[in-house]
Amino acid sequence: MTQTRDLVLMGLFAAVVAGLGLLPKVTLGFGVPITAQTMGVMLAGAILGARRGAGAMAIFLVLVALGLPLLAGGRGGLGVFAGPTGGFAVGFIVGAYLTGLLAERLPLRMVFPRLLIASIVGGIGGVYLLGIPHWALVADTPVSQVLLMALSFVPGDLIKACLAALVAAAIHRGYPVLQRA
Amino acid sequence: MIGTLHVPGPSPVHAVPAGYKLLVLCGLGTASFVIADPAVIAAGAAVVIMLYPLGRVPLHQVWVQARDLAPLLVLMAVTQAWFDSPLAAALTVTRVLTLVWAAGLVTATTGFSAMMAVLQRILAPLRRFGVRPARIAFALTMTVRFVPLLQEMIQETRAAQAARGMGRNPLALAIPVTIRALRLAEGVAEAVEARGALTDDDDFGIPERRHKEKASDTDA
Repeated sequence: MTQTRDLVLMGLFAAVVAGLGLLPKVTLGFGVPITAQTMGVMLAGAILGARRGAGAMAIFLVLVALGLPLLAGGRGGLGVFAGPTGGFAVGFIVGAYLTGLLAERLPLRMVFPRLLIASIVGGIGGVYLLGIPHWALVADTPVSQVLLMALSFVPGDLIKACLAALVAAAIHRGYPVLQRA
Repeated sequence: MIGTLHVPGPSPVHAVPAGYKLLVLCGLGTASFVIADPAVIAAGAAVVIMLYPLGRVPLHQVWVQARDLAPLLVLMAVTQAWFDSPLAAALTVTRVLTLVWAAGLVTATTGFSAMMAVLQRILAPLRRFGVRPARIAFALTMTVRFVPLLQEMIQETRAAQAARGMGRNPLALAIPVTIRALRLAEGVAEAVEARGALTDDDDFGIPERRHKEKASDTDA
């Protein structure tokens, strides 16, 4: 039962990330879209935990690679991974895993601060961990330069982390899923 | 439901097996990082663009993909030209465009099911490490089905919260939708279990296999 349940939950959170991509996106001056999708990454990790959260993101990315236009702005297909922002997409897996790991392991009793730290460190740091080097590689730009550009996303990311932690904390209070990982 | 980026065939490009197309794409990606001559890469881009009409993909797609990337490409070119040289900038821009166009062509001329089949073939050797292609395929189909369901739930919940005067509160939408979705997932998992539809390997639905699974389940 648990295995089937885990698979369905992973499928569900892959769908949540896809659904968040339907929200209108804001494109920054230099073309990188700010999307609600990274909030889905944080939610998957914070609600499902590390392994299932990362699995959900892998499912999402496989569907994108197979040609479904699920990334924000209706982007999809293999071209996404060839483009400069492809690393951020693959970083969803790392981001959800890190968020989940911290949500499970951080020695904090209070739920909201624990999930908030997990979402910030995992959901922002984890996604950038792959996104920034990939961008630097594709664009042949020094990492420091890319890092500087990435800073402009951080305020929006912090708002998303707060929302994700609030939702995940409410879910854990009313509908605990994480404990049974 | 969800649209796809697929363009229906038939065409010579559609006829090439999906696996070969992906191999060529892989090779192209590697080559573009080895070749350091923007002229050669631009020639490659020209070949890729010529394949679009051959694959019956509207040439408009070439433009759309370039347009979507344009702000990023400009940014890259400027930083490159500044930090390195105009030659490096030209190399980067042609490289990214060529690869994106090539990948876009593969996506447009290869059906979802053909891609899925390649995926299953790639995953098959991983089975000995505990990867189960059928389970992955199951989760993928789940997601495709969940997307429109989630949209429905969001609309219903939004209407309900608006009626309570909470239409502008994102949490009043996100929390109930998430709980409803988790309940739905629970129900789906139970239904799938009850039908015994998801066994341990590829061949879900083959009765003898299912019996074996049941036996090992009781052992565990």
